[in-house]
Amino acid sequence: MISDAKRPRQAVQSNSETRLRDEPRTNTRRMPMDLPFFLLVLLLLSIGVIMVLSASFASAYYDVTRVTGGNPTYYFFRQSVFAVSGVLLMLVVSRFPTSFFRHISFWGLLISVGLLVLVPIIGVEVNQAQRWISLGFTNFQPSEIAKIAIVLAFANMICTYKDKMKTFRYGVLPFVIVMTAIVALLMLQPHISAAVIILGVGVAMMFLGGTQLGWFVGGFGVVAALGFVVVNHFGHASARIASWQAPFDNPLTGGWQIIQSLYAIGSGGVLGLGLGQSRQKYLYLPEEHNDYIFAIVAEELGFVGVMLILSLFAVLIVRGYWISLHAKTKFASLVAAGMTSLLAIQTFLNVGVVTNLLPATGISLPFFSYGGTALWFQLIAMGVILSVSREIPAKREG
Amino acid sequence: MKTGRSGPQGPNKQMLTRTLILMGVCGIFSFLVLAVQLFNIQILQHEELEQRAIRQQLRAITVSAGRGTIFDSTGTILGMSAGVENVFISPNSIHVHGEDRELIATGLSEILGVDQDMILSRMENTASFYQTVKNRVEREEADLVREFIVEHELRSVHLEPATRRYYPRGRTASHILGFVGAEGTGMGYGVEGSYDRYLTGVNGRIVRLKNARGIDMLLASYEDYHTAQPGHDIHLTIDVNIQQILEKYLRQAERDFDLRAGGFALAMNPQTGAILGMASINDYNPNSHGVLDDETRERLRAVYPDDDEAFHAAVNRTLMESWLNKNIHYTYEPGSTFKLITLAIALEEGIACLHDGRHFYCAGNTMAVPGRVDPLRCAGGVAHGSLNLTQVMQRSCNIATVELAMEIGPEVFFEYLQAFGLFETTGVDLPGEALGQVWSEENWNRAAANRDLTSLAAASFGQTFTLTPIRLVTAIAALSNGGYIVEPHVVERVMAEDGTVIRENRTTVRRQVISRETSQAVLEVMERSVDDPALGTGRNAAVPGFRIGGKTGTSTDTVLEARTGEKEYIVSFVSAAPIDDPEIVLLVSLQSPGPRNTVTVAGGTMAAPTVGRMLTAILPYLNHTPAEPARVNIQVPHVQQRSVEDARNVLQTEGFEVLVRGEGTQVIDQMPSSGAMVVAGTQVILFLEENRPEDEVAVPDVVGMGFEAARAALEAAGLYVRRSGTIAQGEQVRVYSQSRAPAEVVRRGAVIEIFLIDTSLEGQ
Repeated sequence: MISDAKRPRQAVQSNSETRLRDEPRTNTRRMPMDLPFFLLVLLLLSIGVIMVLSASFASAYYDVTRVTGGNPTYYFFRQSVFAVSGVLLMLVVSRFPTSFFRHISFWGLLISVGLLVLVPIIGVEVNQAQRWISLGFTNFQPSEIAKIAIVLAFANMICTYKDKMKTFRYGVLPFVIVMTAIVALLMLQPHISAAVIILGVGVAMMFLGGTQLGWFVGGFGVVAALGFVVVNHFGHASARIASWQAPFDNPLTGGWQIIQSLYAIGSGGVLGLGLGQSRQKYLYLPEEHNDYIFAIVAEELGFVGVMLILSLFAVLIVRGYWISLHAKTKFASLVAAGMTSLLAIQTFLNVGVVTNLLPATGISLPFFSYGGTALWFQLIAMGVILSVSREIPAKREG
Repeated sequence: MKTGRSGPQGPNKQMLTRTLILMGVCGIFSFLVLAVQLFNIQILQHEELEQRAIRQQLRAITVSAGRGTIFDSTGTILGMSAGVENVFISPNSIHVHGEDRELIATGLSEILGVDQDMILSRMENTASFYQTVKNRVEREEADLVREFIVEHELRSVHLEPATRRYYPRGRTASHILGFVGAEGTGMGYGVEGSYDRYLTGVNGRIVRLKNARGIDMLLASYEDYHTAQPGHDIHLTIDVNIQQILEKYLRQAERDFDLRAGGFALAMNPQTGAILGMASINDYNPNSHGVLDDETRERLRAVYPDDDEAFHAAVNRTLMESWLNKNIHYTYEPGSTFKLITLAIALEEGIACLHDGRHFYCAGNTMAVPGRVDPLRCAGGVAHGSLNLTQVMQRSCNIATVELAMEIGPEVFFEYLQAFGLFETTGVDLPGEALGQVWSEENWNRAAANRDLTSLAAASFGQTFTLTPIRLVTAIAALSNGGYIVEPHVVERVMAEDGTVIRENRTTVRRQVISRETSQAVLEVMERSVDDPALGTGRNAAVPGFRIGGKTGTSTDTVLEARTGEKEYIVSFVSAAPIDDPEIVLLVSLQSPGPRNTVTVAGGTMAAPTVGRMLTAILPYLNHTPAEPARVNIQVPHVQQRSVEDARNVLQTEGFEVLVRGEGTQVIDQMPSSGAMVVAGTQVILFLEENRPEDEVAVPDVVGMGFEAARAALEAAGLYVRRSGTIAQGEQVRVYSQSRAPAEVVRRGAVIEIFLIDTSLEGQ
């Protein structure tokens, strides 16, 4: 199919006509989902759940807030339940036609903005930030919904604006307004990491949608300036920058977490200390089963193991774009690429933070970090990609 | 919207290209960046980061090595370490677990007797995992703390093993032992200080992986042991029995003579240099060396009733002075005891000879010394008249001694001062030995060149220079062991736990100062000073049945006089026994007899009887049996249930007189009881019909009486007599003290010991 794109326009035209002719049939007879993508998700999820068990074992055992009651498998058990239910959700979502997502995209955006507005009112405060809405049995972050909603909404907008995407009025302004609104709401919580992800995935969607490249250069300048202001005016953010640049100079203030993370990763060496053998998880590394689980993975499985896991992520992401490239419709293609970009951005930011490549901010690692609702939304995003994969027409022989 | 749905919907070429770009950036490039960063951390910085991680994860627990035990020469333990426990709290844990602060503080305060507010204030530091509540807690208290922890399910109160130093004999030998500080190491006093490196073991370590709260990691198996090496044991030359004898009679002298500045006693084996005992009245309890006893505190409080600052300063000064072992720290003028050295030099140099018939003439106050303004006098201005050499020493004549020194000459005399070691320390293995103040060779020679013999004259009878008691004893030891200067020592050997000898202090001879013949002659003179009941100034030191020798001395403490403005005497007696082959050289010096003292202030009247009492106890202990027949006190034999005739025979053979009460043939009871030690010639009453009377009688006051009068008075009261002190006879021998106070009520037939002193002695 990639070669199709390089064919003369004539050939493309005829091909799309053929597809148009086949459309009713493919709509009723959906193809099976993309098996490699599905298996990669399952594989990463399984490794992730096992790593939650290993990483959370000590902190659950020594838990002092008595959430776990000293039960070392507390987090593992809950994560397993969310993983299984999440996979079921993913399969359900994958059965929806992509057109359904286009139908709900506007409402999705509206709902997520509404929830973000609600957060400062009814939200639950954790660690001096109000990001959560309680569901009773668990909390969830509306920003997770916003991430998915923005992909769907932007894909819809791009498909609607079509050639007008080249103009400022359609190709830039509406997107910037939506992103600014969401980012502003997120900064109220404050939730920098979610804002960064929203911006990242939004920009990726605009890039795919055909916005003129010049605007990205200008936009980057604006964001850099804004970022500078944010870093200098938000106390906890600028402290993070300091401990990012020189973690060993502030060991007991901001640097503690990143130092402990580097100790863990560094201790891993080539082959790691062995599964379950992490020493840094014994209360040295905070958030060891959440945002910093990758450090424990690196300590236990070593460079080799980490490279293997990152390769699985990379293959999964490449496969996601592959599905996008083969999608039947422009909307489906944009959605698949957007969801894949979301996954890629999250993964890169998380590993970047844990390895001190980027300043510390709370970003979870997809499929690995403990957290039920975040896992659900990740798997829903994967379900959307699988849904796109089901509409890829079967390759005609000859 | 409508057009969007109906029109061709496949992605256009630009979008496909841009998707491919995104795939490259997000799917490949970003992961390459992460891979480089991970390679950097995990491979390149692996060593450094792992080391840092391990450094924080490993916690070493120090296993303190047991400190060596200190034994005396009989194997009695004088210093030992025992296991105790430290009680501490983790304020962090209290904070995190929300444990009841008040409950913990009250409970621990009740069990440990620690201030409750102190515990509460230590809980404030919630970042801390370790705050001491009380260190070195005994087993019983530690058990109570454990019960308290279990009862309230506390997670923040902990105990850890520690050691504590015990000195089972309390004050006994405290100056020899020294003490340990808070860290459990010697503090520069006693053998705890000088042998610290032997006593201290090598601490062991257990290295374990710990979580961030200092608890062992679960499932982690890394452990590294470095076994603790216990310290070595010290075996002293000190015999605790001799030590206690010295201490006991020093205290008695303190009471008897109202000693205001203390006193000290030093016993050494002259042949080996082994110190047998070393006592000083200003002792302390090494178990609580930092606390002054209540009695002394009250006494000081009485001196400074309102001035707290002066009071505390006095308490601290007294405390620190109490740690000083006068036998090695204190320097003083030896007085006439030093005449023995002058005698030895004269004999060695052939200037005088014991039995050459030479006589010295002492006119009392007429002698002129070149360089000296006023003429030299003997003590009290007494004129001794014509004296042979032995009598010069017996009567401690200054004038004849100076005459000997003049004949020796300043150069030779000075050489001997050096040879006897006055310019060097003895090398005793205790910390802080002092060096006396002696003339420099330069000053001495300059004076001699100017025909100024003042110093020589004063030196010959032990004045105008100072030395330490241990230096004097070492010099006297040389006089009694054939002429050898030996190095004194208090530690016989250092032994490892498994019995290996780590160090052995063998006899070290520095040099020979005088010949064996001279030594024999000096001993003979020393014996004459004690065993001559008429002329010997040391006759109060005589011990019935033993041959002992000695020399008296009286000097003043000029430093103390400068402070108090009063006459501060130091009376001394140095002795050697048994005289035929001395095993013990014993020096006793008593400082500043006070107003309650009733006898003449002189070495012969105070120090000599004290030495006598000590030797009376020590010599039999050293397995010397008193020679017949000079047994003053004898043991009453058991004659109950025997026939009268039999009993009478036994008693009379032993030297008792017999009085029979009642009619019959069988002895039913006797008085005094069998086993009592009473003076020879005591009348034993045999009861044939009934048991002895059990009534009580009042003790009469016999102090100041002659022996026979005292005996008669006591016997009239129904009491018996044991004699101690001088064996001299005559008008001037008087009871100095009695073992039970006058008017005290005791059982009829009890034995009262009376202590006799020959009061006829002139000074020195």
